[in-house]
Amino acid sequence: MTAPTTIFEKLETGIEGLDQISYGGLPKGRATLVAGTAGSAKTVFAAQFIAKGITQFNQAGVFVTFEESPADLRRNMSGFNWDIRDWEQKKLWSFVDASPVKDQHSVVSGEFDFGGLLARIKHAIKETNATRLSMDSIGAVFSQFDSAAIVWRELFALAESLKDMGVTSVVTAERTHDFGEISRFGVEEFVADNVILLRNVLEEEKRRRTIEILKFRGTNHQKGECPFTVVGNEGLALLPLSSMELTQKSSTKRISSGIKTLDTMCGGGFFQDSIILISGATGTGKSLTTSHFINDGAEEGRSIMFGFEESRDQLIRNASNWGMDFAAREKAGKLKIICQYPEIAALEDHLIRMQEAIDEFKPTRVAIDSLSALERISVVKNFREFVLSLTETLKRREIAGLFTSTTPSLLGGQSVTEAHISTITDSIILLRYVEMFGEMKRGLTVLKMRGSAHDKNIREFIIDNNGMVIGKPFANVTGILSGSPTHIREQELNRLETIFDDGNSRRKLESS
Amino acid sequence: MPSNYHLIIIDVLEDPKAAELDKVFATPTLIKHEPPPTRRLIGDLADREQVLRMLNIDKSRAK
Repeated sequence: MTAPTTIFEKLETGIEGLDQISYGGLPKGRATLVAGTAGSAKTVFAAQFIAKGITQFNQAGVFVTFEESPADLRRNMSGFNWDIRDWEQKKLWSFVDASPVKDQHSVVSGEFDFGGLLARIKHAIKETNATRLSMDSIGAVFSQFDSAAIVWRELFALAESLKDMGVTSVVTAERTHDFGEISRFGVEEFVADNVILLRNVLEEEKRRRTIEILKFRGTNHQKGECPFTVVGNEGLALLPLSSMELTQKSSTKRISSGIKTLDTMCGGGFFQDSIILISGATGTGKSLTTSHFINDGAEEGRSIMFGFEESRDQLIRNASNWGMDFAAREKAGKLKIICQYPEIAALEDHLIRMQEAIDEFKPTRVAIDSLSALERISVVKNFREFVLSLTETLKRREIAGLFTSTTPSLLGGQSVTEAHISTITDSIILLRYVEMFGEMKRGLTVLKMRGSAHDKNIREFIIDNNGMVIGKPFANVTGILSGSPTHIREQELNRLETIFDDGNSRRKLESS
Repeated sequence: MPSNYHLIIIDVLEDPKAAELDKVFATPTLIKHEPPPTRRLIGDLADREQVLRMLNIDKSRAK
């Protein structure tokens, strides 16, 4: 998918993902209104727009602040590793401080205009040779002056003269609600050409941040909301999904699961760039299958294991019981185990952290144990987006991914996780408990193997000190997957086989 | 009104730096520095009585 060409030029922002959903950046030389409720990261957006210009494109910027003082902004934004003071000294960043003057009572008497402000903005642009301008937040101007009518008129004039200054600008405005009118005081009226909305919505007790390009006059952009998160060292990071390209190369290279029999069942192993889902109830051997997978990956390449259910020590101890030395692999730089409680962060933040870890460690395999644990902390839509983004991250880098999903019932059943992600996985392996003659056995089957023939039997497996040992198919048992295995006696089986084979029916078929 | 006052007139277009230092937003703005407290008077000073009250000048002594 390529971005449609437009007659209007765009200015690349450098904000991760924004240039993707905007098909190339913000409309160049024009103003874009960024509206959002309190706490929707408007100020971060405005500052990041300037900061990215400096760090990525060597473009200077002017920040006009109507609300917070420059001192507050310098301090608040230092968390993103933006050294504003340093940039100010290098004349890359210039503040126009239009925040309310403290301890000075002011009275309005008669007519006025914003000539002072305008002169200062023009001066700052000239002095730094600025390409970018941010104004944060324009609604605050209304609280500085009583006369809304004059403020209106003057802001309109300001917006007009901005057009002549040749800068690309971001103007933030406060919204009272995440849905409904665009901004307070109808500010959008004078910077109406381009509108971006930032939302911070509480959905099923979870905060969900989204960004939406409402309109770019005369130029194209992606429609709809896009999730984002605010991360340290970065600012806003967008997670665009619909821009994902389905052009991922398809590898024919096979890799081992670490279990020989399973490789044979899969027709020779997993594909290098495939996503594998392991589904099973608690204790069926998901962590074991995962351990085999990452252990094998650390043999030739490198593996990352993201654990959301067990601690590092637990994982390492378990692996050693199965004859795998994870500690040594980690020491050799072949393996990285990252364990976190799902609840410590929002799903978007987990995703960003995982992507960072992947880009840093450059693994050939990634395992996540388990997706179900992550699902607990999010809403359905969010979760699906998360899995899609993650899948895309892995596929683009040709990394084999293995996810586990826990089924709620011990026997049979399907997990909610599966329902959402089974279509995007390339292989699905089911692990099930099988009750036979008063004994719990474990069974394994390859349910799906995209692009390859595979063994359709349900095989019994045991776990010993070398890990998983897969044996023969369960004979004479039906109903394992549905959770109610029934043993069929030999005689009965024979009768079933001959039921359609009696002489009568054959003669009937032949005569017709 | 007695002539014991000191008034500086700044054209923001010619000296935007001074406007930045004094944080002049709207024009015209009259800033009274002395005697304290510092006060800002925004607008074209159309309301004479309000201006005098603001500058704390006795109406009877003003001409």
